[in-house]
Amino acid sequence: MKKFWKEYANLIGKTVVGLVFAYASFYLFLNCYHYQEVRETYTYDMKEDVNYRQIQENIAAIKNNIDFSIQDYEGPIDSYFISGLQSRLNMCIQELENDQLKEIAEKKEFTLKDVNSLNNLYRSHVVNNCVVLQVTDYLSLSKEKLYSYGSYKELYDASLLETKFITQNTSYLSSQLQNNSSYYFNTTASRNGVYHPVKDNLSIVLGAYEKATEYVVQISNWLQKEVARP
Amino acid sequence: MTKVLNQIFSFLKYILFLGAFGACLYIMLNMNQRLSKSIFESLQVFLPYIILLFLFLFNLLFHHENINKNLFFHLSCCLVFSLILFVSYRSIGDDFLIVKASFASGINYNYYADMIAPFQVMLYGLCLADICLVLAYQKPIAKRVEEKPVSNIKKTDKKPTNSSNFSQKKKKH
Repeated sequence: MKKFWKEYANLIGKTVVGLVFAYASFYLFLNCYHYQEVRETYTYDMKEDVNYRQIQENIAAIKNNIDFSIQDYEGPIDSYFISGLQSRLNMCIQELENDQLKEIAEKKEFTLKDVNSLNNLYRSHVVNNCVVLQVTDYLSLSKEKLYSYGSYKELYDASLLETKFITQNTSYLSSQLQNNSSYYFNTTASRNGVYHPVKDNLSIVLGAYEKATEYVVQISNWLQKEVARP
Repeated sequence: MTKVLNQIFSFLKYILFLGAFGACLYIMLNMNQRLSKSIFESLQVFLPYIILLFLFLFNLLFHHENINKNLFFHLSCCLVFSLILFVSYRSIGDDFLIVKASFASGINYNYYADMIAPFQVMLYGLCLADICLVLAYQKPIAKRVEEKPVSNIKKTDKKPTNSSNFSQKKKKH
């Protein structure tokens, strides 16, 4: 009987060692695979990207639109407001064409880390420092004085909707990028045909960046029309 | 060859065990500090390490041959501890896990916390296997030398003929 239990214990011991070996091997391979996956690179020239070029054109358009002297203005709107909006759009340009964007654009290979850096840059400089704090906030401050003015009313109502869209359009991307610690299995076929984490997220961030610059262009276009009124 | 590998993995097992325990202690201390919790609240994470340490010491002191000469057991232990060290390294040093930048201490607690349960399963499994193999140990029975049967052929006075070249000898044992 004693011999039976010893044989049984021997069998259980060796089985458990085998199971632990298999379990540890599985998790080791899983972690090694995930280690490679998060380092997946995407070779791309950002300067040739359509959205990036549009961003540069929009920035040039904003610069052109605010290139006027306030002394020439003789319109119905308060000149202090016009001057203030002009200086705010000037500060916005500095946020839109920052050095960090140029550094990222120089890269030839992108990883998820670069996409995250670009997304953080977009959310802090473009959304927060330019769209919300410089443009929309200033339009809100002047609402009481100018809301009766027709073209201002249209601009202000549109800016609220645009700002809401711009502030929310990559919030899901931030949480998605931060969740890359969780394991996911991707194949080359899936990456090429369905979803490439680096390529698709890079495209989303650049698209959002372009939309934000387009909004600022619309504000500057309105400003230029008001100044150019006879 | 097996003996050499056994010696290597046996030694490596202890080194990796110390490394794995040290890494776990470091990360858990930082994690609890961040949450303003006492380390004693996370004692259940360290319990399998403590049990395994005592079992390893018993194996060394009492020369449990079923364990000390079991290459597969040493290999499994090395694999488990290597996995713990690899996961600890990724929690502390892998910048490609984006959420790591959100933590001021620079440790990805989310990633490590996901792996604590599998680690406990593996370590408790090693403890169970160690105990079972120690209990299953049987002392080898001493081998007796077997007597060979005595030959029935007798030795004769006649000289061997030319036709036969066999010489018959009486074997005495």
